[in-house]
Amino acid sequence: MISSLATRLAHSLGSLLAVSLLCFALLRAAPGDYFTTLRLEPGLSPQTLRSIQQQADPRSPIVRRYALWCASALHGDFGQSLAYHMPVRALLAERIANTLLLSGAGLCGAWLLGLLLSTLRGRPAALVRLFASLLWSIPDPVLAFLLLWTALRLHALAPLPIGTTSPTASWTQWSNFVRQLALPALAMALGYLPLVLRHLQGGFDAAQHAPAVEAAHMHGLPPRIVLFRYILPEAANPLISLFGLGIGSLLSASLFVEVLFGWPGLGQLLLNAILMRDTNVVVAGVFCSALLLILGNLLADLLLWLHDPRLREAAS
Amino acid sequence: MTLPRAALIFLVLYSALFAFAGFFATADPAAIDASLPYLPPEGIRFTSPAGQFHLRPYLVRPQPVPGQFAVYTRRGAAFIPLKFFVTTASADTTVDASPGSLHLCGISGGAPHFLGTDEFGRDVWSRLLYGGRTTLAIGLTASLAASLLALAVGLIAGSAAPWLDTLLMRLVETMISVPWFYLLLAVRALLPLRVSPWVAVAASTALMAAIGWARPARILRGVTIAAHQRAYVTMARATGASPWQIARWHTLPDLAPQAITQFTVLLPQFIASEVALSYLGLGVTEPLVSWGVMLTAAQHLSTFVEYPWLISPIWTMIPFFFSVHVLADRAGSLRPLTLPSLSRHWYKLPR
Amino acid sequence: MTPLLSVQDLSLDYGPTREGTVPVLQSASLSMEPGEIVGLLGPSGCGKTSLLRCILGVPAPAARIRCAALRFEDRDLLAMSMSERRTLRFRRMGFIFQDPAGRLSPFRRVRSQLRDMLPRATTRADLLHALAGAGFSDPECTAAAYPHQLSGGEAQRVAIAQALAVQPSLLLADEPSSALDTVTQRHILDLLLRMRALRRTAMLIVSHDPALLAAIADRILSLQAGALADYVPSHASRPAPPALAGHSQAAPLLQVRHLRFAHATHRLWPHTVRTTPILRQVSLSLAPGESLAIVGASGSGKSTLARCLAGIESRYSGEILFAGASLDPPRSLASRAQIQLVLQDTVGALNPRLTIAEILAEPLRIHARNRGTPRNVAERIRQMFAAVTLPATCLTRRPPQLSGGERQRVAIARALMLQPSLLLLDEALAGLDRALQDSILELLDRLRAQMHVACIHFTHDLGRFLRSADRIALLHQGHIVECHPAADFARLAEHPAALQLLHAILPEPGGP
Repeated sequence: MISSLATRLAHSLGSLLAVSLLCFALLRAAPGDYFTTLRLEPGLSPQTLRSIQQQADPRSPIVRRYALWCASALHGDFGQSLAYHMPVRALLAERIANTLLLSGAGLCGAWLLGLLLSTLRGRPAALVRLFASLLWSIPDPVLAFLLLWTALRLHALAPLPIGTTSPTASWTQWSNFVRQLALPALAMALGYLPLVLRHLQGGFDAAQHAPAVEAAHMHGLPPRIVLFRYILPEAANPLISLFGLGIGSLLSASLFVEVLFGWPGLGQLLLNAILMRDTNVVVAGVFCSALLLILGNLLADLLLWLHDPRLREAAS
Repeated sequence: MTLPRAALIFLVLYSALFAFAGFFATADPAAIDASLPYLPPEGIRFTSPAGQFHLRPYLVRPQPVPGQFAVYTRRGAAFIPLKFFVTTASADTTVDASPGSLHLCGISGGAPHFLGTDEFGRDVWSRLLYGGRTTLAIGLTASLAASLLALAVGLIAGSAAPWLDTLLMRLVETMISVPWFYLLLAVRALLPLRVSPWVAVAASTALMAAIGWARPARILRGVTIAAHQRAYVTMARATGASPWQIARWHTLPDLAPQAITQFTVLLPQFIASEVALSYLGLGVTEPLVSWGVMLTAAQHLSTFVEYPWLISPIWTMIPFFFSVHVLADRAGSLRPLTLPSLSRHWYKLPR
Repeated sequence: MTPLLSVQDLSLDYGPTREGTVPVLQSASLSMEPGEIVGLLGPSGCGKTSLLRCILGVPAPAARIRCAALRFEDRDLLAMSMSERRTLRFRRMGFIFQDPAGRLSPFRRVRSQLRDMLPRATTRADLLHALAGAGFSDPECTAAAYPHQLSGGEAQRVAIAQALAVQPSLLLADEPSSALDTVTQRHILDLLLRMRALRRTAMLIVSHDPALLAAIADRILSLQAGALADYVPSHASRPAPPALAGHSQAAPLLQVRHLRFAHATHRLWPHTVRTTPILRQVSLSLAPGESLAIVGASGSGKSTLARCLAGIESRYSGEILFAGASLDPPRSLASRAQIQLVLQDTVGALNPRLTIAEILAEPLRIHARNRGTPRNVAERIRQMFAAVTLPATCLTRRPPQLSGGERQRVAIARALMLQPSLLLLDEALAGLDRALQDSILELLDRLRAQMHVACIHFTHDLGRFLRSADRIALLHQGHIVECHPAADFARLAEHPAALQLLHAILPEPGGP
């Protein structure tokens, strides 16, 4: 029973390894020589410099360079950022927390809104469906842009702190922080909402007609028992898979939202790093986003595994 | 008329607007008019200043307030009669419209600005059309290339030897382990930041196609495997059909609806990505126009609030995306296509 | 004595659809005494299930019902509210489905699903008792299992335990055994009879198989053209197959020697290969024009053997000789033309996108590589179509527009297009109702006489082929354990598996 989960775990590790290979390739392929710049870096010990040079030495075999890079990546050491003059690790830690916060808030918002809206019946439900299909046809970056534009136009009516250059300064106050988060999180949630709504409505409709649910109905079981013990488990499977898939699309969406709303997250960092040719940060950012995505999928798989007894036995 | 059919007709007409941008545009998208920066959209009236009805519409051009930058007033606005099917003498050399080309409408001595102008006094309407042409061309080419690549990979992985299948699927899994836009940016980072406009167009297209095929390929592989398990494929194999015959008669027609669906899913995604890339300064660059480039016109968002007509690419995009989505929904339930190879040309159907 | 259930003049149709209203039941009347078993016979799609759903009170959403009277246990069902009907069927009626495994929720253990049906005060012992009553020798183990861990027969027993847990006075069963193999079917019927003897539960059993109903029911009603009538068995029996003299003297058409096949499951790390033998040692031979039935329970390796012979599986060891020449993989196109396969799955076996004519042309098209395009393809198609007695108007239709029996005929015609000398029929009759099976067998006999085609039937239905094949071989766990002429099979067979199968054969109603 455990072995299928172990296989899944091994699979994730394999993906991570492949991503690391991809990142390493990106690092090697990046144009420009940054050693000359690096040597001028003040806070860098000669020891670190030597190890970095070893990693990048074109004379040492590529496998060795890759192994060295992996080893330091395992310790969370992605080298030095040239643009920010600090270790990439310190830079990332804060940014990842911010991105997780934003994505988490967006995810929760979307699911809450989705669950709320999917309980509607009759005419409001039709309106919701129309609204969802309209939202569905606006890509995330466009939606974020539009939301920001609307907010800016309404600025006189409801002053919201938007796009301040250094939000950390004002983060001392809790309410301020929530207001800071509200708009980008809304942008994320609205982008993800149509997908959630679609799956919620479709999932419950399909579950109503599942053979086991029909059978429970024909046996004359009380409606409450049918709902909680038959329909809900039946509907859960696709929703859990959606939850796992959603993390990837949320991360992609968060990039543009962060840039647009000035939210200091991973995506914004990555963009700045690209514009400033800060290869170490680019690679570390890509690697960490992949890590988040793989962990999210693994979490969804674990939930599925706990929920569906058939999966616990399926071989790989 | 059903909604999907309406969407299809709308899409065709809409695309024609951009495909024949040179005809519908009123000015050279790159032509700078320093005298009219941030001109608001000009109105069209069928009445003369004296209040008389005229069949030939007038263009109402607000007048600049002297001594102030980009401030216009409707008082004393110029009423300029609009002309149709005019040939301009302007040396429109940037993109394609050669001097003496035909335009749907124009005015004598200048160009109408239906959607106003941007900071350099360039005509937003014309830029919208030319920009849409670039953006749609990139989006269409990239999503077509990505879906064809995905179809090929899916078909090969689904029907080839297990080792090849494993190899291809590992590659796909690696690519979809990285959030798509992150990967796009990271690979874009390999190229020089400033490249010539046409290289930038080619690079955006190629990058999106090279990165976007992975997810559809996985879906199409699944469909291929499902198609191969059908009993009629088993029968054909037992009769001795070659893999190519099976693919052509049974598998490809099964895959076609799903491939079309994937194409319609990729198209909006790629168009939005082009806009995002260009907006971030990593995609199409001046002097070429694209919707993303138009949105960069003001890096400070407050500009868009003061001059809301600059946001017009967004309003143009949304109906396009909406109709593509309507079609995408429909494409999922398409009847699988029948390839004519099996019947028509080979023998005559018995009567 | 008042009847337990009485239905008077029940009419049902499916509301306005694109084809207008579809009448299903027309003035059907039915009355059942307590403890009585009534069989309900009818071809598929005649409205049997709709009738059961009406009695339960859960008609299909589109159904429109008119009924003069519907009484159960002296209560008027028509006057009851929906929730009263629900309570009534929960406590007083039981229902058994055709596909038991699919009707249990896959997410919960058997015991919790069984507990849903029982009163709240039920103890664990009661629960196990209910399972033991349904014939489980180890109820503890079954109670802890998930539905997917049960076999089809076990799942049907669980369903019976569920249906009978509340001690209903009426049990409705919709094709309770048609998804099961013959031996398991026999067990289920025995169980139902035992339950009736124990608890005096009345049962209304729906099936398309008269033999099954004759074995269990006190009386049989047949549903025809929407009305119920007493069933009168027809005495017309099928003519005996044409005796083809001199099989054994002729050179064998097909010889299989020491055929083995195993499924290998590779695990990458740590590297292990687990092999599950499917065919252990199969040897047989077949004369030209002969009809052989290879009988076996599900899982005995029938389909694998068919796939090996058809050349779909090539990883077997052993030898297959066809007309004296070895058929070693890769198999040549010419030899593939000689051996043709017909599958059980009539829906999946024909590409729904192609017209029937295109489907029939496909084999010729494939073999055009080495045979060249025949000059009169259309003529050949029409010939074959006439041979399987289908009207030529079908040629331009597509498979979904045909009935199951017609589709199977098309599949046979497709197999005959290349004029093969051997037809492999993998459960080609299963899933068709009795009358259709008879007509297909008759067709095959005629084709055998006309075209001298040998047939191998792979089947689980021994009873059917005792009367219609030349020879019968019994495949059991990958071995051929018995192989006798059909007429003497019952007398000569001594393997336990053969005896069990012979015991499970249900006598033909009204037959000799």
